[in-house]
Amino acid sequence: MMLGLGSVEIAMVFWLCLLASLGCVVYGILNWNKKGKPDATAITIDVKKGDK
Amino acid sequence: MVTKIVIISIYLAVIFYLGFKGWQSTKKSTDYMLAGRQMNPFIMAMSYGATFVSTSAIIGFGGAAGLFGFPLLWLTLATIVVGVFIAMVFFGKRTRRMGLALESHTFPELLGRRYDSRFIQGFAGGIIFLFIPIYAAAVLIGISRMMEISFGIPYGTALIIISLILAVYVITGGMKAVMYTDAFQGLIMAVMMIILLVGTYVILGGVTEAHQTLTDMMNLMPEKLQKGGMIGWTQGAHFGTPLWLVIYTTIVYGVGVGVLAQPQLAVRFMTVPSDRELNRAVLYGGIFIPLMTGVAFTVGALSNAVFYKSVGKISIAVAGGNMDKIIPMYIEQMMPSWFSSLFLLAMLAAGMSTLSSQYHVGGTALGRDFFERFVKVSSEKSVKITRIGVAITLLAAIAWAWVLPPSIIARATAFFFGLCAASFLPIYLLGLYWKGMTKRAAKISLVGGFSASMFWLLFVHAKEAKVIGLCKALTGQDTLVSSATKGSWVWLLQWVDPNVVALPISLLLAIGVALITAKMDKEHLKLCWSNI
Repeated sequence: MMLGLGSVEIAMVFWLCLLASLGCVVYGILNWNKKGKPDATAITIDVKKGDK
Repeated sequence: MVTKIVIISIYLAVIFYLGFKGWQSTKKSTDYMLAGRQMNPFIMAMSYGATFVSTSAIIGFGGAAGLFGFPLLWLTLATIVVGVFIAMVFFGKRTRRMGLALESHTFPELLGRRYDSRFIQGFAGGIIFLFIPIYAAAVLIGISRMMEISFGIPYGTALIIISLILAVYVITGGMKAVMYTDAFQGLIMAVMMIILLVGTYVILGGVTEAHQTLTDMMNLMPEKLQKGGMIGWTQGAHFGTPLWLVIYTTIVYGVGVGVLAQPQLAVRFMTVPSDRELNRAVLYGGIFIPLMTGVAFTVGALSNAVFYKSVGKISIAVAGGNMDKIIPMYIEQMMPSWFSSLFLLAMLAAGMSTLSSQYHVGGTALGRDFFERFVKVSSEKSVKITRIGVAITLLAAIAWAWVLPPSIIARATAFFFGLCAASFLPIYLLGLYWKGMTKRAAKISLVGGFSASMFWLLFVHAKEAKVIGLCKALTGQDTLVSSATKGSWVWLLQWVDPNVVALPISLLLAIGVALITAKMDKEHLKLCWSNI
């Protein structure tokens, strides 16, 4: 748990960094395909047309 | 030397190829400014990360970790939570949606259109265009010095060569070229940092063993640091001591909230086609950012154990007292020679990826925000003026790099971060989330935050005020508070960071004025929120 680190505070931040990183990965995986509400503005259509 | 030249040549060939790809697919102003709003999430996240983390973050803060040890990991935690998660999820998604609804091409344009004010766009663009060259100069100085040491090229020549390379692909290829090359550069950085981390743990016999070695070295912590409150590299500092304050204010200072209002980062949220890409970017960013800052700080701290094992000295002693030399000396002396060439490349990549985005955002601030929208030049000329803007930003950065004193890197970076936070953050955050925010409040907060920040920098904060010397010229004193009684709270103000003062002023102005001024037109607000 302490991984050889000298204080609880430092061991905690070490684990928190790993957890935060893991949290971002999990969030990314869970929401991988979630596009949210479709964009409803004219410019999207314009951009897509322009790119084709 | 031959290896170094071969590696750099291959690197440059790839950069030019990617720059060419960017140029080839750039046809409209949306392409040039926002990569056509169709960017891939992996490239967006890598570009965001590589722009965010520059050479000075790795070398400078990594060196600080060599001195103070593992407490710097709080900064890594902040970069992941604030710089990736909060930025992408709470700022990114709304920025993209509102940016699209308001047809914004740049960060100042988003602010300007949200508040229906050309003044806000012009003023914000002006601040960015005028001050980003100073930040860019800091990064440019860093990598030019590195080229000077590694290749023996004179500093001035290195400065010109790097600028010319960047000029070619940023001016011609716009945002697409910037983001493609950023992603490639980010990849190089990530691979090198993984090797560095694994290599360091292997030298010390494993993760727990490495930490334990450093833990057991606590009695080697220099006396001066012990007196300041340090216990050890893996123990941290005593609560409330001066060094405890230094370490923890550095966290606010290093990343703080300033990262949320960086125009070159915020604009990236508008380059992707949907929320999905931002969700995926959280995953990539959540791996990339800790690989940069987390590894730099862990290795910086552990360098003490490695140096002590092989030469019997701690890092700061090996580096001759210069914190900035800890990481370079560790790479040079403790890592295999093939790695030091590759690491040099990674640092060059880190600097170039930050610079390209700074030049691009400086150019769009002049072309799009100032001339096209504020001065009202025809939009057909927008891309052309933006290209000229990029060139002017680049030349201004070279000029600054020539005149700024050597130890300016960290200060110039903090200067720009602070200025952006005080000027933009309140109106950006409230603009995204509060319909009650008014046009007048936004103008007053923008100008007030900017003025408070500049006043503090020029007249109160000793670090900048002394170097700039305007206060001395006008009043005969280094700062307005220099003559106060030593040790009094007024006297102590000269060490208080501008952000601590200017950001709350700007936020209070925004909220206070918004409560007493006329609300914005309902139809306009409906448009702003039409895509949310």
